[in-house]
Amino acid sequence: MIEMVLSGAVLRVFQALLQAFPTIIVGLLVAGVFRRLLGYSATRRLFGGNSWRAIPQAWALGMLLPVCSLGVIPVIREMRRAGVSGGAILAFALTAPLFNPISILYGLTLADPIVIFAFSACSLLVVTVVGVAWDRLYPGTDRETPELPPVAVGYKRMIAVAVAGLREIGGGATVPIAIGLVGVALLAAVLPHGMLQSSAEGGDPWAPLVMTIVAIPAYATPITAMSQVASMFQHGNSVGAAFSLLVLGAGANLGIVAWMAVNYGWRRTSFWFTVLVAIVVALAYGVDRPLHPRGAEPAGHTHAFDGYCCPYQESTRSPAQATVETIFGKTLRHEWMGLGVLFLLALTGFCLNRFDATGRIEAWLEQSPDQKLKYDLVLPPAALGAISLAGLVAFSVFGCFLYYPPVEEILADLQAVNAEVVTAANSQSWEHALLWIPFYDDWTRKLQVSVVLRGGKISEYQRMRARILRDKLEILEHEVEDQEVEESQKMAIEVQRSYRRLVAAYRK
Amino acid sequence: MIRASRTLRAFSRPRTRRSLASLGILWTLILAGCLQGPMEEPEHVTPAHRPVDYPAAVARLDVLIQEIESDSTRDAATIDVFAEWTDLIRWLPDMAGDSDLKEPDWNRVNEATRQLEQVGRAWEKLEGDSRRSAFRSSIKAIRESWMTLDEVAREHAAVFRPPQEQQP
Repeated sequence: MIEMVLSGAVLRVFQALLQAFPTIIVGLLVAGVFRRLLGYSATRRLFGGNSWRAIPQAWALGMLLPVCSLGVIPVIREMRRAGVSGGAILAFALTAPLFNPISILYGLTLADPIVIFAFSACSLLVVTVVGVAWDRLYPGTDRETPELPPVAVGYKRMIAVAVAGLREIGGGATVPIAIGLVGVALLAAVLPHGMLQSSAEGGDPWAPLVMTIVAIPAYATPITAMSQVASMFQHGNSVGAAFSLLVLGAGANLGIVAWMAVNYGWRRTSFWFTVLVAIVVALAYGVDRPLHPRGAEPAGHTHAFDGYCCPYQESTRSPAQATVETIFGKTLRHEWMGLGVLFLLALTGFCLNRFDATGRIEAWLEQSPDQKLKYDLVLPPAALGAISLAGLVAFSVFGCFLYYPPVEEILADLQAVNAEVVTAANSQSWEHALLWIPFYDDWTRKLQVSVVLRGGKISEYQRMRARILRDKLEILEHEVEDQEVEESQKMAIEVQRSYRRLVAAYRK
Repeated sequence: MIRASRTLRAFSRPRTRRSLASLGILWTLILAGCLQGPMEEPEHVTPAHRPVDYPAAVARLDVLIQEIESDSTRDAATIDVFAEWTDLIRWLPDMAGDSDLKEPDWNRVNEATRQLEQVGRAWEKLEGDSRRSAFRSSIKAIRESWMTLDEVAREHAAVFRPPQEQQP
């Protein structure tokens, strides 16, 4: 039992890290830009200063920057140093992990656009109420740090951004990030395998509440949360539960709560957290019925939340060995590389903090800041900061075209994945089939988003073809899990047939 | 290093530690109370009233129209006729789509189904005889939509045959 719980928790934390590393790196970059390029006063201005615009501006910036609820931690630490108001920090911390261009596109294509717009509006309402209440009740929680000396122009400015990011990941940001990951482990330890499969049924009055409780310690990247919302939408699950999952699952984690408690005290944090949960639950119940998709087939259960539960059942023979096999057998090369980069950054940052605690590197970077260069055009650091942030947003928009490749490329990949799944199901290679089915499902969704991204719209017919294929894949997955030879072969034929029709519909 | 150790110190204050532990225990208890024990792996169950294919669904729809019009009643153990109607309407587009039906013809099915859904909203919140009255008042539109569905079933009977009976 203990082996199962621990092995499950280790696997879930590892999987969360794999998902989180790109956005943690983006968060470090943004924190470095705030500190060394924008500077504290420009950062305060960027977030609307003390004006009424502070909260909506923080919400809008949060919608654009591609960070997750772990990657946002170095950013909010920097905002706190810059003296941004508590309300604006909270608004940014909650919104930035919810949406980014890739996840919005995904949501708009695979769920009802009205639901996504409504969720965005509700998130604005949540952060406004919470932020305004915070600023009213606890004025003066912003703490201004003296402006840092300017950095010398040229490559030193870039190094300064990197050093600021490294110091964060090798120091202050690591503890709340680790606490955020403890939440993931806790969830996997408490929730047995498959526990949430029936917890979000449409029409279940408890669904939004249960999902709220589950979502608080959960960690999900914006794209994971959005894919879960889309899956819930397709299966006719509770829309209120989907909203709770998005706002609290993607938007908050234990690390952010702990960071708040340390910086603002337990009393204030308890107030913030209570108001946040209360308004999320109220809105979840408010949107549950009006936004429920008409005509969606209630599936009776969903696998969308299996990733939050323990991956092992009591019948699993050796969970520890299964964890090792999953980690070393299923992690892709680029994921290992990303994780390696993150580890290297953390190690470098730790060494930097350990061996240069007095900031000798910064002192060197700050030498002769006004040095005149003969031919170079010297841009003010704030302009470079603005360009960096705009570039990041532009890159995440451009990233949509990489994440959702052209239709023909996806169809070529689908051909290979279809062959893997059908052959594995026919030859009773159960593990192989179970490995490829999630990829298959994911590619059908990317196919739909790619059509919208490049053509502006997708026909009902194309949607239907993808939906039917996914439904059959789900049934095949069940048959494969149960190792039903005949039924698996029968469903493999069905999947093959639906695949052929899907290709015809998207290649027309 | 100074920053890191300061952060660690802040998180390891006795009060902070106690509060974090209490929150963790409270949350675990709430969660354990809200959720039921481990359950059996759920299966995909096909409802008994789901027809085998699109032509069967269209034929069944015709039977339901006649049944609702004729005022006949079902025993309590059987599914309500309007509930069966709603399920059938919801299944029709995917049942038609689970074949080699081409896009223009599938669009006709989808459109006719949407019209039936639209008409169905009129009696959705009504009860008993008032539902039947609302149904009868829309019978012309219902019949027209049904005829479109039936036309597609007849015109493309070949694509709806079971795969083993289709021409290669």
